[in-house]
Amino acid sequence: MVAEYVPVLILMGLVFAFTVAAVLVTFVFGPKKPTPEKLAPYECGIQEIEAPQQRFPVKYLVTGMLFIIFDVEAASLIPLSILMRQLKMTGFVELIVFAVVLTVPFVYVWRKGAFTWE
Amino acid sequence: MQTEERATTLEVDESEQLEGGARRDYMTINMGPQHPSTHGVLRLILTLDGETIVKAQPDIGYLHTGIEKTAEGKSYFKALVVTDRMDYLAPLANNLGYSLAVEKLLGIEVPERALYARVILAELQRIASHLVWLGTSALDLGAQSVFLYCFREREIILDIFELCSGVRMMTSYIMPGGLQADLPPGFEQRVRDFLALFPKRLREYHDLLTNNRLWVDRTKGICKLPAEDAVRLGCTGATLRGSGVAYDVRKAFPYGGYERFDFDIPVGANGDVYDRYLVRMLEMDQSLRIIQQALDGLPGGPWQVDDPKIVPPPKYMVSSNMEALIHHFKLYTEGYRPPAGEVYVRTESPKGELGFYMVSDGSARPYRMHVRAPSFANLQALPLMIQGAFVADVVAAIGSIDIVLGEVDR
Amino acid sequence: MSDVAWIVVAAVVKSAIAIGALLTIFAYMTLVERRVIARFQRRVGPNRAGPLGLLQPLADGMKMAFKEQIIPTKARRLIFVLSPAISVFVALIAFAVVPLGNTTTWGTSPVAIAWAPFIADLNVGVLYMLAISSLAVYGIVLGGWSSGNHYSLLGALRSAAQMVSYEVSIGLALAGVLMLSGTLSMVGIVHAQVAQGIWFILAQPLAFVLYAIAATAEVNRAPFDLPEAEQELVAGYLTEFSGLRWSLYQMAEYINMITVSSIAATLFFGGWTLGGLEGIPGMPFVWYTIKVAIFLFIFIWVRATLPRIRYDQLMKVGWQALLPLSIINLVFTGLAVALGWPWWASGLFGLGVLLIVAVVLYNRLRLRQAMERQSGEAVPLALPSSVRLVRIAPATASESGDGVVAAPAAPAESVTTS
Repeated sequence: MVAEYVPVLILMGLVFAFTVAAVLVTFVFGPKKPTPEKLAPYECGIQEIEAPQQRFPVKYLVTGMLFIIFDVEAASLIPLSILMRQLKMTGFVELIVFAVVLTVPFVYVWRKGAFTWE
Repeated sequence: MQTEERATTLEVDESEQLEGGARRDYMTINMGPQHPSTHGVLRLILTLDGETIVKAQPDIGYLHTGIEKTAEGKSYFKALVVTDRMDYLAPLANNLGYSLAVEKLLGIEVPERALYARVILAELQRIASHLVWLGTSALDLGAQSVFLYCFREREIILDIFELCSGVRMMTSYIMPGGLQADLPPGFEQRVRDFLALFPKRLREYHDLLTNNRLWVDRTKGICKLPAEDAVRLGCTGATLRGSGVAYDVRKAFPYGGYERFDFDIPVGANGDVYDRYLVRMLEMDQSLRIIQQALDGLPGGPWQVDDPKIVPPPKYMVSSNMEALIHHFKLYTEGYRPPAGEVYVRTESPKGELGFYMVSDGSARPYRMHVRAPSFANLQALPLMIQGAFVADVVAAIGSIDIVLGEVDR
Repeated sequence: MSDVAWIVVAAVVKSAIAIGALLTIFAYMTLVERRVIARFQRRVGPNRAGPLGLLQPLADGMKMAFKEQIIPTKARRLIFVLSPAISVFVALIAFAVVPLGNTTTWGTSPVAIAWAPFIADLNVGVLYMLAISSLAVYGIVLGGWSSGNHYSLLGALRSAAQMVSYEVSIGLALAGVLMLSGTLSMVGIVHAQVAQGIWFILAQPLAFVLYAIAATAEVNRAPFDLPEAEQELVAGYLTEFSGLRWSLYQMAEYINMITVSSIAATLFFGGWTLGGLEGIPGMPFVWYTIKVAIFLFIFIWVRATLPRIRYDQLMKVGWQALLPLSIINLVFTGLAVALGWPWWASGLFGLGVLLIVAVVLYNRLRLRQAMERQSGEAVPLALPSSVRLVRIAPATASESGDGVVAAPAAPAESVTTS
C-alpha cells in the first residue's frame, strides 16, 4: 500500500525543488534597488496612519470553530458513504443518526445566529 | 460639528475598552488617494472593527486645481475653458451652467436654435456621464463587463461631440451667447441613430444588473441615506432623489428651455444604493425622451446672439471685414464687460445641482466665480452612509453618489 | 532494470511532465482568459506578441522573472518569501491523483501500469484531493498576514472566512457521489460510472451544483474572488507581492482551477470516458481535456458576467444554503443506495430540489419587488421598482429668471406615467 504513495512523494520532491528554484530565481535575476518609499507598505500612496496590529478582530471566530466541528463530522461521513452499498439499511440508519447529529446542532447554532459575519 | 471633525482628522481611535478589561482594537487605514475604486484621488480614513466601518473621514484636496481662482484671472470669454475641467465627465453641463450665468450677467437671451441644441447636448452629456457612473460602479462591485459595454455607448456620444466641436471631452462647445459653431450637418442623424440604438443597450444593462440577484444583494438596503439627512447635507441629483425627495432643478427652477419638454423625474424610496442606481438608470430613459422632443423641435436660424461684442465673428469675415477684425481682436484680447452685479444660476448637471455664483465688478474679468459643486455636497453624505457598513459596501456607496474629484476640489 | 526501478523512473518522468504541462497550461490559460474575456467585453485582448498573442505568456514570464523582488520593511521576511511557494506547492501536488486515462492504457504488466497516465491511483484519491486543496488557504493567509499591510491582512482574513464557509459543503456534496461509486479512488470512480452506464451528474445533479459553487469559492474565482477583491482591497493578499512570486500565486490559482475542473470531470462527467469512445487510442486524453476545458471556459464566463458577492453573504450561502442542501442530498442518496433504487431516483430528486430552490429564490425576489412597488404603477421595463416616476409641474420660467434665489422647495405634484 505504501508503495502507492511513492510516486506522490516523488512528485512532491520535484514540486518542492521547482518552487524553491522559482523563489530563488527571482532573487538572482531581479534588480535590487531598494528605496525607503519602495519598501514602505502600500497604503494607497500615502504614509500609513498606523502599522497593522498584532491583534486584529476575527469576526467569524465562532463560525471558524463550528467549521472545525462540522468538517470533522463531514470527514467521518465519507467512509460511511463508501460502504453504503454493502451496509444497505444498516448503513442508512447509521447515516440518519449521523445526519441528525449533524443537523440538530446545526439548526441550534443557526438559530443562535452563529452564521452571521458579526 | 464641522470643526470637531477637522480636529479629529488624524486622531486615531485605536481601541475601545470593553467590559471586564477586554479591549477591542480598531484598525485605521487609508482608502485612497491611490485606490482603484475611490473614483479619483479621494482619500478616506477608515477606522475598522474587523471589516465594519466604525468611522470614516473623507479627506479631499488631492486634485485641487484652483479652477475658481483661475477663472478670476481670465476674461469671461476665456474662463469658459476652465469649467470643462471641473466635472470632466460632463464638460458640457459645466459649460452650460457657466454660459447661463454669464448670459444672465450680460442680460442676453440666446436664439431658439442654441436653446434646443444646448438641451440636446446637455442631455447627451447626462447620458454619457451616467454611463461612466454605471460602468465604474458596476466595476467596483465586480461586474467588469458592464464597464466596457458602457464605454462602448459613451463612445458614440463622444463621437457626436467630436463631430460638433472637434474635441471629444473638453469641448467648450456651449459658450456664453450660444454655441461655438452651428450644429454640423449629420448631427441630427447621428443623434437619431443613437436614440434608436440606446434603449436596446439600456435594456441590456438592466438585464445584466437590475434583476441580478448578486447585484441586488450587494446594493439593496446598503448604505442608506434618509431623506432628512440628504436634505440637511445638501445632497442633490440622484443622490437626493434616491432618498425619495422629488427635487430636480430642471423642474423646480427651469432654465434653458427645459420647461418646454415633457419628462418625468424618477424618485426612489429607500435611499439605498439600489434606488440611487435605479434613479440614474431611469433618468437615462427620460433624457432620451427630452432629446427626442428637442430634436423634433429643433428650429433653424442663428445659433449665437447677434452681438459681435460677445461672440466672435466668423473667420472668413475677420480676414475681409475691418470691423469684424476689430471685434475679433477686442474679444480675444480684452473680452466684454458685463455690468456690475452678481448672479447665481443653478442647473441640473448629471451629478446634481450645479450652481454658478458670479460677481462682476464691471471689468472684463469675473470678480469672483464660485461653483456650487454637486459632487462636493454629495460627498458629505458619504461618512453617514457608510457608518456601520462593510468595507465592501464602501465602494458601492462611493459608486452610488457618483462623485468626480475634479469637481469636488475645483 | 528491476520493476521497482522502472516504477521510480516512470514516476519521475511523469511528475516532470505533469509539472511542465501544468505550468504551460497555466501560462496559456492566462492568455486564453484574457482573450476570451476581451471577446466578452468586445475588446481584442493581447494579440501583439507573436501570432494571436501566442508569445504573450512567454513575454509575461520573462518580465516577471526579471522584476525586482520587493520585501517591505514591515513584512515578516521568511514567511513572506515562502508563502507563494506554499500555495503553488499545494496546487501542484493536488494534481497527483487526477487520472487522464485508464490504468491499463499501455498494458497490464507492472511496468506498463507504472506508466499509466496519472501519477498515482491512491485508494483514498478523493480524500487526498480534498485534504491537499484545503491546505491552499495557508499560502494565502500566511502571505497576506506576513505582508505587514492592512489590505493584505484583510484579504488574508477573508480567505480564511471563505474557507470555513464552503469547505464542509464540498466534502458533503462529494459524499453523495462516493455512495454511488463505493470507492475513493479516482480511477475507481470512473470505472464505477462505466459499470453503471451513467455519468454521476445524472444521478447527482444537486451535488454537482453544490460542488460547482463551492469549488468556485475554493479557487477564489469570481464571483468569490474576495481575498483579492481588487476594487475593495486593492489586491488583497497580493498587494505587496511582485515579480515571479506574485505570479506563483496566479499559478496556484489557475492550477487549482484545473484541479477542481478535473475533479468535476472525473466525479461527475466520467473522466476520460465518453460513451465507449475512450477505446480509441489517444482519445481518453482528448475527452478529458475537452471536459476540463469546458469547465475552465465556464470559470471565465462567470467571471465576465457576475458581480462580486460580499463575504458575509458568501458565509450565509455556504452555511445556510449549501450545507443544508448537501445534507438533504446525502440523506436521500443514502436512502436510494440502501434500498437499491435505480440512479434516476436520486437524479430526479436532485433536480426537484434544484427546481424548488430556483422557484423559491425567484419568488422571493419577485415578492421583495412587489412589496416595494408603489401602488398600482406601471414602470417601464417591468423594473423591480422601489423607484417611481414623478411628474412635476414645472415652475414658470419667470420665477427663476430674475436672479432671486428661492429656497429649493420641490413643488412635487403627485405621480405616475408610462
